[in-house]
Amino acid sequence: MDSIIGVKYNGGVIIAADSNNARSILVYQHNLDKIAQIAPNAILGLSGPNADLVSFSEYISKNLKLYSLSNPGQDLSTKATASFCRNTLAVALRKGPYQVQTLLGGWDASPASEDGEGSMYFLDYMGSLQKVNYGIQGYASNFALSVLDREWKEGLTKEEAIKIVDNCINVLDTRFLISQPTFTIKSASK
Amino acid sequence: MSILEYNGAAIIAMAGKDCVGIAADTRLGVQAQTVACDFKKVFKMGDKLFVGLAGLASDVQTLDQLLTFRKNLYELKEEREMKPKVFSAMLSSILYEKRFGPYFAEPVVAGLDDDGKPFLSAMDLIGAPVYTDDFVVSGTCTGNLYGMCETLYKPNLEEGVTSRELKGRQD
Repeated sequence: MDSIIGVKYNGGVIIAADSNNARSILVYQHNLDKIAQIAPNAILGLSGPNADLVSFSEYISKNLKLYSLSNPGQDLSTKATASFCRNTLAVALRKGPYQVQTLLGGWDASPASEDGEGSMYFLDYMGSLQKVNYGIQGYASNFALSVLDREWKEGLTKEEAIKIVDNCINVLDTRFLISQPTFTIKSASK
Repeated sequence: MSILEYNGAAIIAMAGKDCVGIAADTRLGVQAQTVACDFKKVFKMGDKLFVGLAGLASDVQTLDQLLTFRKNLYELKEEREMKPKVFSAMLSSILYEKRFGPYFAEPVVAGLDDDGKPFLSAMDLIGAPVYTDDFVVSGTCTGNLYGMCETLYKPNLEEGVTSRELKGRQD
């Protein structure tokens, strides 16, 4: 039911997530934050049962914090962070899976650009990891992926990316059965 | 819904005159929906050794990591390169180890052994191997791939022709 939308732009990434907290036919709250900041330069949008949203994102962010304390000055790239998340999910898959579909977005400094570059990773609950330019988790993908297919291009500005996310949310408003009145939106950039 | 068909794949490897070729599609899907068009399914394990992995994407990636690890460990201990048939046997063993909770991946191994002779093998998800000297296929459209191979394959094709034939099957 959760909608997680992620878009990469020139110099960063944006992740938008609906803020509904619902089970079956009941909505508990309209202000649940499903985007965790797991590292100073990385955000993780999560879709799934409440327990797994929290336990997975906290496990990852606390382990990343431990790494940064044990290895001072050695920042983890977004790629390494994504790899760590993938490994956690893949190992848990055959023990007690985290039922979270995620989109990981991060910012890294880059020699090629003074604004650095964003990277976005599609990471499903079984541990399939793929670097993408944009991605959507949840039923929303059936509606909004075509919007992104049409409108995304290389070298977007942050404003253009936000506009595209807006268009995605509008199509959900129009066509998606579930009402999602509020969205949370976060970005990772310089 | 079959776990082996969840993400989708088409892998093919073929032997020619003193050469092997391996090709795979690059689609990552979630059943009918396409998530990405640049997903890697063929992995270079050595100068003359490739493995193509079809099946559940997560297990494809896990196996790639496991195989790289095990091959590197072997080469550190043995102080020599791992031959394709040894690699294939190791992969078969790794898969059978998980007999009652398998990796959902059906691999294809393609390489050249020491005297430059082509090596091909394919396995099912629990490691049952098949060794051939012509072609091997794996994935969600093996019927189509087998049909094309049987029709177009000829032994001892030159390198350029072999890769053209492979490409023909991917299209």
